[in-house]
Amino acid sequence: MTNTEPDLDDVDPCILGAAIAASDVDAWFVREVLPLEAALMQYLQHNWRNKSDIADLRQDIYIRVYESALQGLPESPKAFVFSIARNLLIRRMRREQIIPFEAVSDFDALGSAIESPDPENTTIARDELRRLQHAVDRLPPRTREAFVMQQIEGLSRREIAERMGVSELTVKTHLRDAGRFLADMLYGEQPDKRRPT
Amino acid sequence: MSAEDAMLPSADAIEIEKRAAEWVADRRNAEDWTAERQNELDAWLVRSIAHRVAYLRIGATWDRTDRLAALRRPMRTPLPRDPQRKALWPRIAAVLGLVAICGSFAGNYFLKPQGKLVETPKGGQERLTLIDGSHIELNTDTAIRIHYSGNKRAIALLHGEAYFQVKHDAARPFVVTVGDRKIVDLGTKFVIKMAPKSFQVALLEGSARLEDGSKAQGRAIVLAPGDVAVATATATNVTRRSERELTERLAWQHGSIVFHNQRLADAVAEFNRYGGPHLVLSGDVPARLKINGTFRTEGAADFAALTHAIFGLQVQHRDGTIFLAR
Repeated sequence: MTNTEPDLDDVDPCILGAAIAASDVDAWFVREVLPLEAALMQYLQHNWRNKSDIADLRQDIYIRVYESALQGLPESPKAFVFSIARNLLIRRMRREQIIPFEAVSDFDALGSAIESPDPENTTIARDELRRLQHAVDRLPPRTREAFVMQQIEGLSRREIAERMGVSELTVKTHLRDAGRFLADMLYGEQPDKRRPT
Repeated sequence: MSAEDAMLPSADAIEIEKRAAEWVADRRNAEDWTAERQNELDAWLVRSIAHRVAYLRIGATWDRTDRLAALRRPMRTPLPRDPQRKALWPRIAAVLGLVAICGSFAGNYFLKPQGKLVETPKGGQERLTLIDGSHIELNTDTAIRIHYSGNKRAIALLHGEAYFQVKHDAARPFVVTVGDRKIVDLGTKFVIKMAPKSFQVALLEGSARLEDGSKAQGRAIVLAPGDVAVATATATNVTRRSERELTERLAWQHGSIVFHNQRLADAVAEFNRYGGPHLVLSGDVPARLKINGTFRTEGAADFAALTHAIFGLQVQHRDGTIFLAR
């Protein structure tokens, strides 16, 4: 498949410069981009009707964000991420020949209007611990059990398997799922949301 | 990642996320984590930015939950089979204010396919870790161009001296070109030093193949540990050196220069590579004078003082230049 659309990605407000160390981009991505995920998910859910595409869209946005950041870290991560999200949605719309959202005029306003958590607030230990607690509480019971034993009690896989009376492979699956659930809860949701899983 | 990748079916993102979550969980299970698994993980991460961002996201999630590990009991004591939430969570109060452990990812350079120029000034050094886990160290006044893509890892040494520690991958050979010659990694550590009309390859570990790319029937030489190949435009000679000598060749990695019976002119040239005060050796200094010893790369002035003490050379400092004369 070829890319026949105009180069929408070229308008991304990134500072072009020498390629930078991936370790810096990794740290930047974790520090600046992941905290925007809740707002991003809200934006995508609002603007894309087919909910089963959301995970895929998020992945594509992250890929583009990461790739562009390798050329230079943007001054405003939020504007950068939402600009890429916007361009990606336009691209998809053109390709699929659909206008999936109700009011196109919302489209530009949304990104900047959505409140994203203030990074400083999210690093306050008290709030963070409450949030972690709340997220872990909402894990499916067996997954939670395995996660707590590994992460809080520091038990080995074998010990966890013994205590849970399951195979190590099952423990591995629980731990895998714990990471995925927690990522969605800790990054994908607004901090005040108490959505059941 | 181009537009094509954006068209992958949506199940793909979920699958990648699952895989990333497995890697993160496995990675944190230190007891079972081996160098081999690390290599597999590196290879997986390098295959696609989709993998990398998914891994970062899940990894950062686990890192955030490390705060909860502060609740861990100092000694492992038997727990009830089902840990009680109520008993566990009040302990949070005890650790409020703890600073989260930041996730650290190995220092990597991710390089765009069109190639990236990396240079060091005189007196500079740079260490690069490539995204596949290979390491390159550039000595003073060195330039390389890195072309990295899905199926090749190509480095051009433009000038200077560089040390390579290569993660071998048969599917993606690691090739260093120097002019029309190629050094192809066969799983290896080696150092290449360029001179105006020749270059040297010293192989420390593993093996590498030195190819002459200029001729259709290019002769290839397989280098073994201890081999030092000196290649000129027309010939390549290989000699075997001691381990100590090879180690000394890499003294620059620790900011040192080691001389063994080095001609003064060569020692002077060596110091001048590092951008300290420029040394000028007068033509009247006998060529038979040889120097031994270990110096700091920035120790040109000490070196000059030593030539005075040992050989009685006249040392004159003028405008940042040191003149050595009989």
